[in-house]
Amino acid sequence: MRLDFQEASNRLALMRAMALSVGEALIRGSQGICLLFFGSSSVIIACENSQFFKIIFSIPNIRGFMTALIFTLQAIALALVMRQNEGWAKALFWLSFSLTVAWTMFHATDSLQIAL
Amino acid sequence: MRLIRFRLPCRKFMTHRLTYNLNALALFCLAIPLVGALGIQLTGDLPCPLCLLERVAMFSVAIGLVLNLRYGLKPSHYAMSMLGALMGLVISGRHVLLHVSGPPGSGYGGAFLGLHLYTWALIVFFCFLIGASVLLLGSAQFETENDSSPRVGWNTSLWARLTSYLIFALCAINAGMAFMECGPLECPENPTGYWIFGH
Repeated sequence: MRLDFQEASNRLALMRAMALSVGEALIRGSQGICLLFFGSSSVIIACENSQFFKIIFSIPNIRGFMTALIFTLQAIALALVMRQNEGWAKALFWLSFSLTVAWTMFHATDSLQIAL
Repeated sequence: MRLIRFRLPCRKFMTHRLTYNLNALALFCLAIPLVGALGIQLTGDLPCPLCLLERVAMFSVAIGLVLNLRYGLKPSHYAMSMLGALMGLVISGRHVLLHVSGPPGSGYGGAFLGLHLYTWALIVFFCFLIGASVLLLGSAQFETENDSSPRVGWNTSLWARLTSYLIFALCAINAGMAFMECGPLECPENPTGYWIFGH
């Protein structure tokens, strides 16, 4: 039987590429699962033990002040949009958005603790 | 065999001009409940912490729309608005669920056309999400080079500019009012007066 080196090397390259892509998919998949697991675990732990949020939000008792702060950040973001400073406007939007989500989560966990 | 390309009719119908004006209209529609809520607050019905968060979510929606009006229509601006609306939907949904199990008339604050303001907020956020999704179906708005309709933008649309300035003024007033109500302290669940006036 005559061995075709070209064909053999092509097949080998193909097999190698397939193995690499399967390996890469496995690594990426496991990374994703790990991230998802640890991410969701930390959120659950944070929610279950709302002391985490209590410590953050009770430092200078910023809970009430935060609403005014978020409105102020949004007003500055709107002013920056109109003054053609898109980058800073978007940064302030995401900052205010994150603060609102944190505030809402705190509110929810606070009530959850009362309910439990 | 060459396949015949099928395009949705709304793709061509949603021109840049139409969607720009719809964005301005959505911003104006968003300003109506914000003005109404501020009017109710000035009559003495103070907002609770969740009511304030619903307003925050409305301004998040508004920022995306103002970005669309100022810098042109972009999917990322729609995404910002839709995230704001989703956040508002969660907050107002939670607010409705807090009061839904009580006896009739036990909800927070007064009612408008039989519904409390947080229920209206839920409806507004839901309608916005549907509307923004429909607007995003028309991809012709993003293809400006093939669009033969007359150009419309920030400098040519007085309507868009006035509505944006109104939203900015409302946001600044809300910042001041929120500080007057809560100050640096925790906002009471059922506020009866302004912190700045010693209540």
